[in-house]
Amino acid sequence: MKTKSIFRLYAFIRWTFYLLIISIAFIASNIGTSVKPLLLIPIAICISINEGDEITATITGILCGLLMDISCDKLFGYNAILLIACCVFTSLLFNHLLRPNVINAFYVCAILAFIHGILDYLFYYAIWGYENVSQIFFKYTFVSWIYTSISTILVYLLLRLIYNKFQPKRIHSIEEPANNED
Amino acid sequence: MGDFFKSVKFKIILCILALLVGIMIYSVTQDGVSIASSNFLGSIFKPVRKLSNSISNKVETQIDMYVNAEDYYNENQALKKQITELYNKLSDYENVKKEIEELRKFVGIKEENTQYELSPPCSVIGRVTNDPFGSFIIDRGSKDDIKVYDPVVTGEGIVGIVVEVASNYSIVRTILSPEVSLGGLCVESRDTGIIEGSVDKASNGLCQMIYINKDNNIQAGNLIVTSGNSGLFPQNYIVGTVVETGINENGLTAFAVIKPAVDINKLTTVIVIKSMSSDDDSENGEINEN
Repeated sequence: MKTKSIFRLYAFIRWTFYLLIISIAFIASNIGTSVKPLLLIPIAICISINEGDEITATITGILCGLLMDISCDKLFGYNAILLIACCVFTSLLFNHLLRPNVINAFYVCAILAFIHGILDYLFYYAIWGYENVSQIFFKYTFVSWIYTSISTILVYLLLRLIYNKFQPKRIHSIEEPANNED
Repeated sequence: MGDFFKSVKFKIILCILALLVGIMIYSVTQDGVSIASSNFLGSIFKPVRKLSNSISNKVETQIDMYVNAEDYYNENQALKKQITELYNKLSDYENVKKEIEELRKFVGIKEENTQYELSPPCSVIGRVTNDPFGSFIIDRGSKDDIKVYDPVVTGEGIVGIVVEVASNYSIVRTILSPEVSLGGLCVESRDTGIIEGSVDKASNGLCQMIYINKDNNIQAGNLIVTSGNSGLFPQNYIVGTVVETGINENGLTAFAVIKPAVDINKLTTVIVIKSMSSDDDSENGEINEN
């Protein structure tokens, strides 16, 4: 009973920090006119890596995605759908195939951010047939992808630190079987 | 002792003293002008005097610092506090000055366009992330009667159009975006065209006027204003100045590159034109009454 309440307390503290970081990333994304990293993508993916659970990944994807929709002035729900898919995929990938470390997080985040960037470019610029539309890809989409990928390293380390600090240590023990005589 | 007063040395000393008394009396008669010898000596000893004076000053300062250290510390703290207060006042002053300038522009627009119903000055509270066309968010929305497609202006010229309205904020698409089109008129040559943004020009903060007659007389430096044909934007409102002109690739029409009068990337306050005719309200009023 006591262990359960400790788990809840630690989860509460952890999520308070996560929400604080998400809020800061959201506010920072609306400052200035220069090209910026889409910090909410690595944040959502790294939380999914740490927490592991698919439902948690979905909730994180919705939250970060909707905030991205507001900050990027995209159709409300567009980024949420993309980030749910990314977060659930990441969660499954790290539960079954990959070890949670900074290199794996970087690769996964870079690939998913690139796919996100391509879709964003395709749906919001390329299909509308603007002249010289490729300039947007090279000046904005690509640059933002580079920044996002690089920022993943810092975001992962920060979120991993929070996760390690506020995760109760599990005690692993091997119990002897009751029927020793057999 | 008695021998000394009789000696040659004593006589020489007396002579010197007499000479000095004589010099003294002479200098008194010169009415403040230094005599040659004093001038000569003064000139020789000037560097020495200067050096000694600076040394003594330094020593004096050092001693003073040690002796009055506590007083100076207190004085320093008081001055620091005073400086902080002055900085705060200066900051307030700058803010008030900026606000007054913005309000003055606002009053100017209101005086020039009495038929328009304007919103109060709206602050730019954020920029749309990584938007190539400089879209931004303002701090007023439907609560302040702002509607989608309301034109957004400043004292300098047209800024863009409201594309999304929430209760307490709105998103503005600028004239740098290809999604915004408005009728344009060259003041000097009276040539007309359509003003809209383009991808390659938006990165330099420019837009373009297209579909201009090939035989136009538009030249660099000409002023472009809104023609008001669409009914969406106010008529004769400044858009910007022509930077460059040319013929389109199809060879049928001409284009002009325009530098907007408003620096889109440095906007801090804008005004939304809620209605372009004061009659609108009265008409609506009549409809409601009926």
